[in-house]
Amino acid sequence: MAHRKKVLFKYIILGDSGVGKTCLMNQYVQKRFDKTYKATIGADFLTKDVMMDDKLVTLQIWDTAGQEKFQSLGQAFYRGADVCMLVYDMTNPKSFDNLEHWRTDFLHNASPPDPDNFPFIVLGNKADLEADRKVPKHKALTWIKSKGPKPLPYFETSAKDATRVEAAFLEAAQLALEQVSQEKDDYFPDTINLSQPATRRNAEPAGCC
Amino acid sequence: MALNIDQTKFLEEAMRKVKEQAFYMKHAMDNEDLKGTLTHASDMLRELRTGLLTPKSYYELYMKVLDELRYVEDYFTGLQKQGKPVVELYEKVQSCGNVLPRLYLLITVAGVYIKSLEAPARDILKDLVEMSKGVQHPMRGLFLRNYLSQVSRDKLPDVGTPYEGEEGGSVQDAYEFILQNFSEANRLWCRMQQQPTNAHNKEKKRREKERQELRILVGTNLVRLSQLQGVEAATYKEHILPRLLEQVVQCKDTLAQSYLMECIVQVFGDEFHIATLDLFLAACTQLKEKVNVRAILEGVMDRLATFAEANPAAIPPHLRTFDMFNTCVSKLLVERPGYSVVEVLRLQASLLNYALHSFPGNLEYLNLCLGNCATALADKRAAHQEQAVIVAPLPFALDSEGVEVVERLLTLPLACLALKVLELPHFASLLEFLPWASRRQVGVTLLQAVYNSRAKLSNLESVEKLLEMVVPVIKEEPPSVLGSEEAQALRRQQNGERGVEDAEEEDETGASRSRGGGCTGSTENGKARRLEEEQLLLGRLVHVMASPDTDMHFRFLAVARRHFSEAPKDRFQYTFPPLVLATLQLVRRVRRREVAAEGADGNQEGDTQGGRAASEGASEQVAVEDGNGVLGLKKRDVPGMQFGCRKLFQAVHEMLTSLAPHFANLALKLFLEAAQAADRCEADAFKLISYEFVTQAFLLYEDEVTDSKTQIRALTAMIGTLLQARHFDESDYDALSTKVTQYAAKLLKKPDQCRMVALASHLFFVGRADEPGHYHDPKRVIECLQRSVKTADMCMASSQHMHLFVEVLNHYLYFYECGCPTVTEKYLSALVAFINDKRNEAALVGGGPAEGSSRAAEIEAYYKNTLDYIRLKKTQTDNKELADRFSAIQV
Repeated sequence: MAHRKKVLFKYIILGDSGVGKTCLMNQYVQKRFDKTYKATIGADFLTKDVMMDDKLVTLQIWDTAGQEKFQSLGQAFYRGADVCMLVYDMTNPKSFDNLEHWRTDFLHNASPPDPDNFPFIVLGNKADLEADRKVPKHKALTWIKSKGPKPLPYFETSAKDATRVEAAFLEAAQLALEQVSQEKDDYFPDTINLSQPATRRNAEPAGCC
Repeated sequence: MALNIDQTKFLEEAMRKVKEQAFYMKHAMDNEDLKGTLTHASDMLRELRTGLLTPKSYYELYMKVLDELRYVEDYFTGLQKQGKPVVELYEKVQSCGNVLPRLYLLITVAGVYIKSLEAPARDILKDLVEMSKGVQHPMRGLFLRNYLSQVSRDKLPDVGTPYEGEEGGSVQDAYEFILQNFSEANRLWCRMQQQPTNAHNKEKKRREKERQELRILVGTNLVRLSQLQGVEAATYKEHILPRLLEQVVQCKDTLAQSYLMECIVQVFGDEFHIATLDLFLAACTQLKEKVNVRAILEGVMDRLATFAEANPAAIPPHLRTFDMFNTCVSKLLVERPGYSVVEVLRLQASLLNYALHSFPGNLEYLNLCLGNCATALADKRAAHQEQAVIVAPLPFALDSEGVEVVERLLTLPLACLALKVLELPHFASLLEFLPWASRRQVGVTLLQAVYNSRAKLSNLESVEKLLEMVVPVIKEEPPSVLGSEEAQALRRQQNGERGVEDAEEEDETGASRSRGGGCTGSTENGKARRLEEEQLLLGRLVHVMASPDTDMHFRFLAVARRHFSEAPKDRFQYTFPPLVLATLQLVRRVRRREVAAEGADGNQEGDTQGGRAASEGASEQVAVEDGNGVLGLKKRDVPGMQFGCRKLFQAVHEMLTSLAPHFANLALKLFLEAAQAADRCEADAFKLISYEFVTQAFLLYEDEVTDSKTQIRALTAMIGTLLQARHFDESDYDALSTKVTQYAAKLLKKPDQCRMVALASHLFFVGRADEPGHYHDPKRVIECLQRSVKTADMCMASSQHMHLFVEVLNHYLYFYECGCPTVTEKYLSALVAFINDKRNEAALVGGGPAEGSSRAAEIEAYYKNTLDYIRLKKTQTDNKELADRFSAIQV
């Protein structure tokens, strides 16, 4: 069973177009930064293995299109996410205002079992452009405090010079780890009947993948 | 609805089967049963063969399968690490009977295979992309190719990866693989539309919707291409983009062309676009008729403009990108004569927007775009008029969409150009095509832009031009030559589907012209507010005009006045005051020149005409009365100066005379301002002008000012003006002061009389007793003050008398301190005693009505402070004389 002991965390990165979602992922996974804007279409992932508490953990990081028109098949990939990173561009107030929209959209489409305690993490990206900052820190701090019993973890990152990128992704893994220890439902057939496997089940266990 | 329920059911069923098979599959993995694993995996994958699901439901199922395939991948990786050659697995999975499950499994193994480096990436990828042709069902094929793209994403022989090499392949193999996968995907996607249908519209629409949903599966391939590290601009230009464009052009599918062109713009970096702009634009002109090329062009232009703003040196000027876009647009227009005039305008608007952002300050480009629009519209109008000869319908007018675009075209450049728009000859010609209300809107934006830019209007031509452009802000639309029915039809056409608010407003102006109002209060208010804002904005224009030459400056003002005078009279209140004040400001400058010239005159001719300076005043007076208007026109020549102060004052007089019948209070105030300005000219020559202005103010007061509060404000201003005047003849000053005092005494309310008469008393004793050259008539002072006390005593009823007494006491004190001989300690002592008596009386009555209230406390404090002041003065040691005099007052 060795192969299934491996822990896998699914990250979803959300945020407006141009806030740097792809760049954050590329910086974290490939240690690379490309300053030109290139739109993402649809959603796909890169994986990265990290050691946490002596355990090998695979992070499956889903980079998503910020533009709605490039997401024409819906948000099926939200399902089964372990952690959601909400990214805004601190030089662009609108991208900050839209965080609420992204959060609601995620909760609505991913329908996690415990939406109130689902781990979100907030990233104010482009910290290297401090001089052009348009979203004051206190605004971000107020928002993250308003989203639950505990304030959401908040990082001011720069995908360009890698500032706090690693820290943010590791914090996200830590949150996911805490969440997982609360037990995940797994599919189990009602009747294990090899000759007649197609028995109809009445109810799905709550929160099944 | 039924479809949705079915979809949910089908999806649930498929999901259940996938989970079930996945369960058995993992069970088999735990038992290290390869055969069982593969069987269940392929049973699971068989669910993807369904034809029942819509793209979105299929996507959900596909995501679920993808999750499960990860376990398969892990399992295969485990086997490989245990030493099992992947090639065996690779061959084994090919025995799976069903093509779709087989290919999914094959791709999964292939991922492990490439990663193991046991076989060259290039060969395996080629193999896969070829074999995937086995699935020709569009939706299944598209998803399969998406899986291939996802799995191979980090296993391409790109530069800097472990898969690159002699055997593994190069970045060329990587992009060839992606290009092939892309073109296969695109083919499947386009074919969906071509599938035979019974041409039911509903079916067609459904198919189109499905295609719209599936498009990202095609576009993802472009993202992959843009992610390749080894592809540089040159490679992109030579090997990649031509292939993409070929695909796009040749698929002859409107949806695909629109989408893929947009993807290309969005997905690749700016440098790539700059390197290949010619190729891209050439393809733009080859697209299907229904493709919205403008949207595509706007996409590229936006990108390049943003890029150029952030990296000013990034786009080499020799590229002449504007010319490239312009050529492309021109070509489109030639090749697509079916474009509506609105579309032509919109294309030009996009070009203009690009020019504005990428080449700020290049007026030539802007003028070109505006000129193209004007030409297009003129052609259209000519065609319309030709037709009109036969059917004689309405004159040519833009429809609502056209109005909107032209308004945008004219508004866009304003913020950055401001006054420079005057240098664009086509700006004005295009403006003419707009209906009045839109021209007014553009005019308002223009004014705001001019103020924001802080630019100054400094030549006559610009002043004329600018005022001409904002004529719709200045006046109402001149009555149409059309019959009212036609005019209404025209307006309807122009309003079309514009915002309700706008249309309402239009209606309203129409209504107020034809029926004289009759609209609801709220829109009436809104309109009034808007009008006020606009007129204030217009008035500010006066302060933007500036010339070092006073004659020229005056001409500017005259032009503005000419325009403003054509407005409805109720707007004078906003536009005339700035004109008047600006003219009075100019008087100061002109006067300086005159004084300088007079000085020079005196020096030159001093000997020969020694007596002239002395008799100047008299001769001027004669001039005033020689019948050249109220103020007299005869001016003394200053070399090289055309407009002297007299001319300026005459202009002010005329403006105020036309303002007065409608806005008496405003005119009164401004007459007084003008009087002060004339007095400041520091020459006897102007005292008659000043006198005339004051007289006009007085006449207005007598005839027009009826409200008490306004009267008080007017009187205060009159007294202030007279007190500041220095050059009146004594008899004139006396007459005017007497008049003001009479006005004060005739006020309706006693307290007002008391206060204003006390204030007027100051007119008769200006400055201190020992100051020479001031008007002093002490007798009149004491008369006024005595009258004020008497009047205050009559205010018992309003219980204001105590406060009034203390106020008058303070006036007494002032004059006493100044040394006015009629105001003696006798009066002061008596008044203090009188006030004390009144207080005692009030106390005896047992607390007057105001007793204990804060008002009473305030008066008490005021009185106490006044007495304290007297006591203080008594003990003042540095002015013995004053202290002695104050000691005579009995407190």
